[in-house]
Amino acid sequence: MADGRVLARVAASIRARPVARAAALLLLFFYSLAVLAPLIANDRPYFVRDASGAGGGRWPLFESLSRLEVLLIVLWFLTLAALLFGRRRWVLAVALLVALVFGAAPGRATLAPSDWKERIAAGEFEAQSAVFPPIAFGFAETNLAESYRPPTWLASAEISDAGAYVRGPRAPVPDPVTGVVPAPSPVPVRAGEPARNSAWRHPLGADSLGRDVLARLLYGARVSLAVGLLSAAALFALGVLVGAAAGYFGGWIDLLLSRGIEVVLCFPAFFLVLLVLASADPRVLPPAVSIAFVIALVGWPSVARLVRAEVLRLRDADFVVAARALGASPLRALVAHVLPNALGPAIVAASFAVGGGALVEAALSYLGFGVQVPIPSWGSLASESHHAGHWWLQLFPGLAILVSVAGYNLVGEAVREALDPRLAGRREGAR
Amino acid sequence: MSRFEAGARREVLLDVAKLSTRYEGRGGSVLAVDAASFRVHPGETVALVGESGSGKTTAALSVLSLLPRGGRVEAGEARFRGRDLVRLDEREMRAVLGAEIGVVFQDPLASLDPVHTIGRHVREALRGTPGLSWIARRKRAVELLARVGLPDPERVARAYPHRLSGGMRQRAMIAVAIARRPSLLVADEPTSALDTTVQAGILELFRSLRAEIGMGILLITHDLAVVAENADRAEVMYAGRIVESASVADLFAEPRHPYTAMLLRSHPSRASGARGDRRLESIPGRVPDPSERPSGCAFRDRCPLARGRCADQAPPLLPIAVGARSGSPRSVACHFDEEAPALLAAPVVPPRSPS
Repeated sequence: MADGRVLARVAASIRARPVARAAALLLLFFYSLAVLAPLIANDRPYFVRDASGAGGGRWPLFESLSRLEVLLIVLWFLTLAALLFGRRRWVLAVALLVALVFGAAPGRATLAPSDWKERIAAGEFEAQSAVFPPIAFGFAETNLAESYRPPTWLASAEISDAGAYVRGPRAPVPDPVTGVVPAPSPVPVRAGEPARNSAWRHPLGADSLGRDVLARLLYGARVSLAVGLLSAAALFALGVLVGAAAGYFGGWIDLLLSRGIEVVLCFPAFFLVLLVLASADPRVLPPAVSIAFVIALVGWPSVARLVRAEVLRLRDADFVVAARALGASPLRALVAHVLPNALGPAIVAASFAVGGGALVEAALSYLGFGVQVPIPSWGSLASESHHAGHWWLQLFPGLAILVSVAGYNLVGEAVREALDPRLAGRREGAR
Repeated sequence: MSRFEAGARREVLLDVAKLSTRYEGRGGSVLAVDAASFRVHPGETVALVGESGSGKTTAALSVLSLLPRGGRVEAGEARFRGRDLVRLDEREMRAVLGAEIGVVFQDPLASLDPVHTIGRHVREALRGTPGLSWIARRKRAVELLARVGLPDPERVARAYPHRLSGGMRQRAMIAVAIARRPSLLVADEPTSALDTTVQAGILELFRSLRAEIGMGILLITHDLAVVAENADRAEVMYAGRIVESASVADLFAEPRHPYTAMLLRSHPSRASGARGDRRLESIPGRVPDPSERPSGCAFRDRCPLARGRCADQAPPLLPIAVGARSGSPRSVACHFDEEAPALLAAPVVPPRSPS
């Protein structure tokens, strides 16, 4: 570690690399979409006027937001503001907070399907005055007549009044379980929704229950992005704690912790995660949170080993002796002087672990061990149908996973360039 | 009247007596400091002089309880204002360090934490000061940086160590060490990593701070020029032992240990200044490995005076007549110390056993 603030150097490194910079911006965009998902995709209108004509109105979408949601959105804007304008030191703290809330939020299904569209259609409110979000579908809002409807901008997705596909080679698909071929039924277009054959109705298609894939992708981003961050943060914290204790105190503490590290490293991580998740109670912990912690529980040794090695190297460094010469206690010397210098490689490992965690979550959800229906995650979206004809159900969630994990790794690469001591020589040479 | 005499009537600040320090390692054990005794009085600068490996740094670290792993004080005591530092427990020692004893290390870049600003270093040093608020500490830190002669102290306080030059770093280190006005400053090779021109400024700073705070300074150095200009007394160490102890004036005028004499001969300012363009001489041989110290006098392999009993009797450090220049007590550990002053002038005699 050659110089000052770690975050400043990471930021400079990302800024200096166009690819990493684009990836970071894309991830920020993804995060914004995930946080703001209830404001972008919802079956409640922003505003609707009373039918009585008295001028009164309701704000159904905002009324439905839980306090947690509001806190999340406010925190996110604070984080963005800090990233854009502020001193960067507290960005990390805020971002971590966001991640934590993020992880907890999808577990509380406050955004269940509402009856607002029916109420508007019934004439309780003035239909023309209703202002709906850009995507007028909730993530759990079903429309069985549109089961497995392809993206609506495709010609093959055009549906007649009777509910049958007008053209296209695609015959109705039998249900994989029951074998029943669904009879065409007219597609109901509810209040606020785009027209039946509008390209904007289901731009990414619909799933088996006729739910809008785009809306589910947006909400699914919350779990998928949060689990990655949360697992990396937990893994980092645990690894630093164990690694620092082992490296600094040495002796039998080191012996014990090092053997512990080796034991955990021996476990086939993925199956351990499966085992724990199969026995975890989703009512106690939201599955997104338990997935993150289980990933952290098997992933911390890699960070712990790096921190231990760095602490061993630094505990007798001149500046640590100098701190002791000023009367600093061993704990203070560790926390204030050894650790800040020892964290570089651990931060690098943790930044790569974000993408790794997101991938593990996707795999778990794909296998059905992840978050519970109807809450979506990218992994569970991709497993919605295994039929080759339903390519949009596999392509779009898959792309989202691919792009976000690639983004994490590109940013991680920039972090590594900034912090890895092994690359220090190259850095100096480049100047 | 010399400064030493003035000091002698006052209390003794640091009184190290028969201090022995041993390093235990995989390669066996090494007695790095062997029964060293010296005193520092308030306002006095005492230099521990010797080549690398002579045990001078280990002696200082023993006093400060900052020995690296494997090092242990085996015997002796180090009384600092009446308390034996060697026997203080860790908590009591922490209260002394920083508050009453300040330390300046050789390499200021390595001794400053790269992830903290200079200002934070000074503020951390001020942490224990009672009744100093956070804001007051901030202000005091900048004042201290200004006091040690750093230009634009506000900006320096915000800078990270790698942004400063070597001399500025060492000034910052000194600001950290004197932050709580210690009564003793231990400076381990404070100028060895610096350019000569920068050295002079740092040493001048030490002198003015000593006058201002009235602290005693234990100066560890291998550089005789630094000793000549800054120290009141010098303790010459060789292979873990103090071989000569005298006021600086006496030492330079009439060295009584052959090692001191040859050190003076090998010094450029002495060689060219006092005796024209005489050839600069090095001391043949090298400091013996402490783990295989020869029998008798440790210096005999390199000593032109060595003969007879030097081989089997280690000379004890004994008082000799008070110094002619300062009138202060001096002592030396040599069987033939009266022949030593002649070595300054005499042509070089190769040692008996050059193998």
